[in-house]
Amino acid sequence: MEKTILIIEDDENISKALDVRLQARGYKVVTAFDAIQGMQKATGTLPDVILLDITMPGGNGLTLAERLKASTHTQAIPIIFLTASQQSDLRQKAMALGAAAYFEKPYDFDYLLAALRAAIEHPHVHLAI
Amino acid sequence: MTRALAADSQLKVLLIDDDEDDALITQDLLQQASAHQFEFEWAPTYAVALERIQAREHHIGLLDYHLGTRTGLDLLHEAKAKDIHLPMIMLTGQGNESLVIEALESGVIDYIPKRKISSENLERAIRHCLEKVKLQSEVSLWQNQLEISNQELREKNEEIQRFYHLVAHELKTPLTAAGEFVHILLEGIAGSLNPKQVEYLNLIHGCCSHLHRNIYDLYEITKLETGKLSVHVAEDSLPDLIHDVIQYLTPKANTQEICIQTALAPDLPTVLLDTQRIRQVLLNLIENALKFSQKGGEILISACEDSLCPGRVRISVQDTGIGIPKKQLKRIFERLYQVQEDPTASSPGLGLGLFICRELIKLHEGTLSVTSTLGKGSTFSFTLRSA
Repeated sequence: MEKTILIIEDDENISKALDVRLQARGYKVVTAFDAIQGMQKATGTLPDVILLDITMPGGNGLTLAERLKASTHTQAIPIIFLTASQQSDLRQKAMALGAAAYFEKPYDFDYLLAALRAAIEHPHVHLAI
Repeated sequence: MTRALAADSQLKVLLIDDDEDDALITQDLLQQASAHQFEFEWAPTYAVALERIQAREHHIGLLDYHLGTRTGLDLLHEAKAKDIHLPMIMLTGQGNESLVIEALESGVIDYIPKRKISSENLERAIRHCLEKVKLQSEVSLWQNQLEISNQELREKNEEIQRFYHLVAHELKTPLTAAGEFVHILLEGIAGSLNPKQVEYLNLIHGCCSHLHRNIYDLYEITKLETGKLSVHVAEDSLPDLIHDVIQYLTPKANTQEICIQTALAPDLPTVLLDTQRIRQVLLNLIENALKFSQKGGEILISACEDSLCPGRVRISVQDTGIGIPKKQLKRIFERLYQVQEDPTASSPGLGLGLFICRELIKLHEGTLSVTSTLGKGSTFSFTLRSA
């Protein structure tokens, strides 16, 4: 069965590139460009995994992750964070929120793909990458 | 606050003494003093003294120890509690040393035994007292100024950190997208490529990686300079980390036909390290070794207990590269320094890598050092604490 990945990322270029590469590997991809749209699409599509940017307009990714984890509809969906920030405390905050994995941009796509597969197959495993 | 004294004004002196005869003698002595003109006021009781001190009209107080049922020290404490700091000289008939010490600890600036009182030493004590107060006030002013400057520097540091964070974010985001689209083309998702197109795309990918490294180093430097770079050490296995780094760099080494070998002591203890940071140091040292080695060269990574420093493990990265001129060796860990035989030759990088490595090793309470022979190669070594 086709797995769905929701990409919540405000940079349209990164979102488009991820969309193309993940679709080429057989995933269904849904995109959202800010936190509000991200919440709506997460609730509406119930994806298998969420790729979530941290610095975005309309509320940051950490706040959105808190809301997703607080909702009974979305709390079981694994979240993988993507960020251009190098602040070490963000990684700690993300992992404390129950992130499945955390990647700094520019990420290694093969590792990201491995983390996405692991999150889909074992939604409760957390990888500190 | 003490009352400031204008150059041409009279010194206002408050004499706090419950003995009228003593008060009259002190007044006489002050009037005989030649260097200053004194305006004199007598406070015969504790209550009057407290009221007059609170008026903050005097430059200095002459304080007797006995004030009826209270003492001069009680008065000092009460004034201090009300944030009134009139400079005081204690006049005492007591020969009790501990009383003098207590008075000085309570804020009395000087003391004169009543039996030694004279016009000269009274005037001298007042002059010293006022000079001391003036100096204390200047010190306090400079301390405040220093505190303000420190606060401004702290805020500036925060501002610089925020700015570099923003710059790093704004540079990394488009760079990530550029790298991704290069991969999309290389993966053939957008159609098949000829070998030249593949070669050029790989060159673009290399440029993106290089640019990312530079951005990362600049950000690390700002963290270092603003005191924000820290390490979180934990027990870890060094061989696993070394093999992980070598595995990552092997494709690059293969391209350059450089062989990376290891010589790790079999009984190597676990060490205390921040895995990400030591991985960063190893990557930097081995990448430097690759950068300055020629085709067919060798790189040896060794680790063993430090024979000179028990409780520490020494990790070395040895290459057979171009080596470093002797005169440049001591400068190699300086910020922005780059080894160059020919000043017009370009060497990739910002010259920040080794400086960052040294600082990271320092944060691990270790040292990073280098030995080198020109034309034969270099060895970079660092130490880490055993667990």
